[in-house]
Amino acid sequence: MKLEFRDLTVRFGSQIVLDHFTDTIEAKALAIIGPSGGGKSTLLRVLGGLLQANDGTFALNGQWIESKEHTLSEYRKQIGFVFQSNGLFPHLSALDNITLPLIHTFMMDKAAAKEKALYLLRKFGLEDSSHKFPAQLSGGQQQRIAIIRAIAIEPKLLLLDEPTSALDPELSHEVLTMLKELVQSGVELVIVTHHLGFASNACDTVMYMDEFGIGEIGKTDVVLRQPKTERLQRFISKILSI
Amino acid sequence: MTIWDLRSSSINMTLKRIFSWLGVFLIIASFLVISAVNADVNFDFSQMWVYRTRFAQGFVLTVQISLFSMILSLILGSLVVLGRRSRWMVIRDLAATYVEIIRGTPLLVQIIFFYYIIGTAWGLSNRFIAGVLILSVFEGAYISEIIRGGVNSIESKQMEIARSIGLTKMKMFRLILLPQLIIRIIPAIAGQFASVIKDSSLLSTIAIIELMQVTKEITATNYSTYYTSYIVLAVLYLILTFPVSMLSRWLERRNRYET
Repeated sequence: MKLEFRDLTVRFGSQIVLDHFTDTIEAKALAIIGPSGGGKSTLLRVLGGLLQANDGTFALNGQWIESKEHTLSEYRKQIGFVFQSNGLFPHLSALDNITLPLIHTFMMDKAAAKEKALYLLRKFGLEDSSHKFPAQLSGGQQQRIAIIRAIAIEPKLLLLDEPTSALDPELSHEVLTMLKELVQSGVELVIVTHHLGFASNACDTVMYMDEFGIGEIGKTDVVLRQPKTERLQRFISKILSI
Repeated sequence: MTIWDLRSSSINMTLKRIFSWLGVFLIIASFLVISAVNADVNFDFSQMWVYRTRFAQGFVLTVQISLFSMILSLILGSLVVLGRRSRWMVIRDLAATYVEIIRGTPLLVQIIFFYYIIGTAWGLSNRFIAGVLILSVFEGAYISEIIRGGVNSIESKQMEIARSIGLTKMKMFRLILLPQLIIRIIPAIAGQFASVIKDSSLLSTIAIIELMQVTKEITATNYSTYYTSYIVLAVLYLILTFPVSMLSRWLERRNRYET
């Protein structure tokens, strides 16, 4: 993916998340790390077209996205978004959750949508869950199904907002393993995560963000192994000290 | 546990159920009988048969008023919910004021006010239509609060997910909001529908000859039937409200997706 930012300004309440940010990032998998309240999720919502930027624009693979509801709603169809938790519709089975966007946003034939969903469920070992409702699934299964729903539409970009923050280590592992497989198979993604291990193993690029804005962006090896700013050094040592 | 154990335990459960209901019946019946004896009241149900046609006519009218009022109050309640979310402030305030006034005043006062003042002013003399309208306006306020609570209980996050998927507003409503809303509000709406049936009895004030008015008329001409008539009346209302609550319980069970 190629993400271009031109004067992108995003405010969240009184906090300035991005202030006339201009840069170009080329990455296959981008991890956004940093302390809570640093605006990571807000930036991801802007990238997903769920939140309008206050000023400036950005482009995905050369396509500039205007901050207008009509443009954004068309843009959202090209993006897969996975939320922190409870990202599935509770009144629909796993299978119906996956086929919903295929049938109702992409007007796919019902049988074809079902076939595609079942194929993906099988591929990730979740075929037994296809008829279960979200409340009958573990948090890890719910997230994996949310990920399947997001990739079933073959998005240009997969966005994940701390997909494991509500999960215990074992379930987190299950989800991160799936994501790693996806990256290896060529799915491009941006993930907000607290798992430095996952960022370092699966992502080629890392962005560090805190309340002062974007601190560092670069190749994972460089940013995580030789952090330039004191802010990032402190953040990494804090996480590694636990 | 063997299959036999399972089966016998389910038979035990059924037996327990039957005995429990029998117990409940005995407790209530003996309480009523002792009360009647102490109050020196004689129940003579044989007189009731004479009035069967009149009871039946009242029963049918109560059913008709209730059914029309349920439908109309549901529509009105939904419109008020939309009104409270309107982009125009005056519509929002109007909807909120309607709910406050209707819920804050007795139905009896509303019946008299709407029928004798508003009804007369606008030339509405058909008692049946007036009764249905008044009851619908009253119940609609409560139903709108039930629906509003249901809508609020569906997290705004679900709407964000729906947006992220690229659903149109119409599809968000039809595929995400509505199915969940219906399941959540069914028990409360059913309770309100039972209230519609019972509240319709107050329409007897404006001489609509529904069940209550029939009973009033019968007891006015034949005072010796006073107590028995009201017992028959109570049973007839129960015959109407009980299925509503059973239906609600059944729907609730059938549509439960959260475990």
